[in-house]
Amino acid sequence: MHVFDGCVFPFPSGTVSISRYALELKGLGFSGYVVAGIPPESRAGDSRAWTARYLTRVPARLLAREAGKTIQKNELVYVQAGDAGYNRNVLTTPGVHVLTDVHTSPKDGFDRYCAQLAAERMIGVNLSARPLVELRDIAKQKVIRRYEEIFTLQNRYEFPLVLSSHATDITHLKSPREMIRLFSLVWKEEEILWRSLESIYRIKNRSGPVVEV
Amino acid sequence: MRENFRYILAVITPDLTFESRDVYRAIAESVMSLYGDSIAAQVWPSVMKVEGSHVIIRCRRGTEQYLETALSAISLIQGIPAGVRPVKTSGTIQTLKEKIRSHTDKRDAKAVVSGITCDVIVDMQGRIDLKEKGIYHEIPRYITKEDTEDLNYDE
Repeated sequence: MHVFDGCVFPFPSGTVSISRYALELKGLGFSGYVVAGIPPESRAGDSRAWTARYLTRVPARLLAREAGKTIQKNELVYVQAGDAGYNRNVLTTPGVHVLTDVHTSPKDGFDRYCAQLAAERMIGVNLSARPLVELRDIAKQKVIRRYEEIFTLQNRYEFPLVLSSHATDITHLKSPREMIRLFSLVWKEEEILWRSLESIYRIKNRSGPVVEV
Repeated sequence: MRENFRYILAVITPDLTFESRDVYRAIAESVMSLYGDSIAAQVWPSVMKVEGSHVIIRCRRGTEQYLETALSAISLIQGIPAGVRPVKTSGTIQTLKEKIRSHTDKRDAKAVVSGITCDVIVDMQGRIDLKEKGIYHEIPRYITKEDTEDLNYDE
């Protein structure tokens, strides 16, 4: 099993060093993790750590250029979600691995067509555990509803889901079991949740670019 | 009729010590926020023991999953950012007490990180936490021996 934490932010974005993340996540039972915001060279010796280029607020016209920059070994491209049009653009851009922060996108930002595109192109949709922990009341309810919509679409179109802690501090880290418990607030089928913890490995090892005929 | 209880051992991160009533308030608030009064009454959480950063919490048998989820959803205790991580569930407190590792395996030290000397706490697994949190913005708060240039244990 390749159980991965889909995204953690080390220092300077967070308060934890990468080596400390490695120690903590190994202790929690993860077989690997994705680190956002650091150059890939800095983790070259650690096979369990993959780096991610985390693209936020990139204009649609620059997306292809940014995502298409030479991807190094064990590097992934994460793109922050926007409205439906932007998300469709992201999902049709070659080189993108994961669409992230979907809960912040406007209503209907991730629709059936986006789900279909994600499934066809094997692009993951990242769900973070942090809003489930940090938000309260109506804000949390909104996130749970949004996540439920995404799980419903996943159930139908079977695109890969990527679960992550989005940790910037040591207190944000969650063990795989905790992640399952938290996401079971949204979706009861634990099998899908476990598969989602492994999906980043499948996304990274997807075979070649998809060609439309 | 006698109630059947289950006990959950949890670890508070970062390594801080809180009073049991503060931990209880955080747990009760989390259970209430997630499930409401009805389930909170069923779960009946109760803090049995706090030992350093370890805490043993009691709940009704069959409600362990609710409690585990609520523990995972805690982000603040007494206004301080903290997480509560469930480690083991058992039918007796004794089993969990055996699991609590000794707290004497931590030492104070001075570490040099990026040319800055700072007071730290080192545990035997190699985890190093800065004592003066928030003072140094140019170095991470939670590190390992790998990140230090020099490490001297206090006498």
